Amino acid sequence: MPQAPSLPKNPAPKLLHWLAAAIFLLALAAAFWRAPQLPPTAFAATPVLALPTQPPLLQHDMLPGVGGLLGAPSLTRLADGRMAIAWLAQADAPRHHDAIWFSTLSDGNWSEPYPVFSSEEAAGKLFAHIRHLADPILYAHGEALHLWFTAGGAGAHRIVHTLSDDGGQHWQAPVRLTTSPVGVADTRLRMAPLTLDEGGLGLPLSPTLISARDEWLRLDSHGRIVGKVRLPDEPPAAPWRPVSQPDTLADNRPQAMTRLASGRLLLAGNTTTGAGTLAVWVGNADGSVWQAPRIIEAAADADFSAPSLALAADAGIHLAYGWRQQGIRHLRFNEAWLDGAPQ
Amino acid sequence: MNALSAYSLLAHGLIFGALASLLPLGVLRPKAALTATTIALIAGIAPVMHSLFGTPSVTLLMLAILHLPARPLTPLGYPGALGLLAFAALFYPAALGWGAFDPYALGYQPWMLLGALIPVALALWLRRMHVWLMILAVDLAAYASGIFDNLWDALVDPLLVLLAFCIVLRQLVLRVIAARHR
Repeated sequence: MPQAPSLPKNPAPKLLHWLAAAIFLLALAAAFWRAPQLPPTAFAATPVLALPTQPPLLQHDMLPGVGGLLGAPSLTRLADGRMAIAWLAQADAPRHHDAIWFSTLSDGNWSEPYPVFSSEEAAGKLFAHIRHLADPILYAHGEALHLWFTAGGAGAHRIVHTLSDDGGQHWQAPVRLTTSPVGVADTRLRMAPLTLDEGGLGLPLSPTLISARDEWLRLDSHGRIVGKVRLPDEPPAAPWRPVSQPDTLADNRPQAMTRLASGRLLLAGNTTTGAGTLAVWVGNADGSVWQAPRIIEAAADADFSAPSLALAADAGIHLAYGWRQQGIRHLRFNEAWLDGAPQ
Repeated sequence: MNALSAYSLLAHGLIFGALASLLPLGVLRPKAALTATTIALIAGIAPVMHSLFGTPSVTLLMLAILHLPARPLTPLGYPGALGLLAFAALFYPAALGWGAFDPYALGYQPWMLLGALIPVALALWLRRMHVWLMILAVDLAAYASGIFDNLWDALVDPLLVLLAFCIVLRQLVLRVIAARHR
């Protein structure tokens, strides 16, 4: 019996099979191409300067126009040598929410502060539900001026980043940084970032209720996350090493630390007596020995908190802190004053 | 609004539309999905979802899109959902701070993760699971486009795990009911 001629097979399934493989391989190659390649973590060393002998210097002033202070001031030195500060304060109008304010110090005078972002503006630009802002951190890195803050919404706090290329006159649209696989995970900022050797930044995160471990973000020079590191419980491996802290420091209160031009460390924070006493401690280069504290403010039932430190181009030291929950006090002093008789 | 926020809003709108398409509306199902997507974007539901759940993964977005047509494709079945739940039970506690190892950090420099996806993709290809292979390809393409800083964010998210949980729960309930009627 003659066989009927067989119909040609439908080539579509076979084509789809190979087409799917080809598309996947293309996408995989693109993902490999985009994945960042980073050198091992190495923090940039602060150059040690041979300082000429100077007389002790201590100057202080209050920042203008700070009403309804809510949060920590954050100091930094701009590329042109001016000092800049950002802080969190409540807007004047009752229906307005909190805002991050900004001012610069030039020739000994603070410029008229202006709000960089209010919570409404941040919500509008991020198109997200935001109720309040917190934890502003200002940091100049080359010509770029970075500002991080946390935005609290229906879920929890999430980190927002913005950048200015002209010393704070204009700011780019804010971007939310994704630091956790869960949207409602609370992420808070801790202190100013450290500069990395390859030009990036290391931004410390504050331990939260869920994650009680210390973590930090590795950022590129544009502030984009390229890595995240969780520190181990045990004595950490290089480049980390344990550092002792002064016995008189209240370790559950906000602190600030910087490396001085002489190579020594300077730590600012509250003493164990509470928020009514703010002090600075000078430590040796590796943080193993700390001098007795120099008391900056001391008053019963007062609140002197959230210090921020920055080094000026002339090696002068700038300290800003919340003063009695009424405003921000700014101090300028030098190492000669720090080396005076401790109180 | 940056690219990630724009993606997140549109994706949450479509996911809300796909949720609405689960309602037993017969031939009106695609229209209900379209209406729900529009309402989510206009009435502020998508921004609230964005705040609550964060950015949805591309995998979830693709599943939502596949569920929108009149004849929906639902590639996530009981075995896949069970596997996803098992993965989530290990991944999320560690990523949120349980232990010294943070698997989420691997997604920022995802060389190892991309390497691990090759045998997964090969298995999908050999088993002719083309829909899943294409979803994986779109995930990788979305990461390569620069929208996501972390590859994990393109692959999985808590809403996808919640969806897997619902699928597993539904299957278990059906089994219990069937056992009672025997």
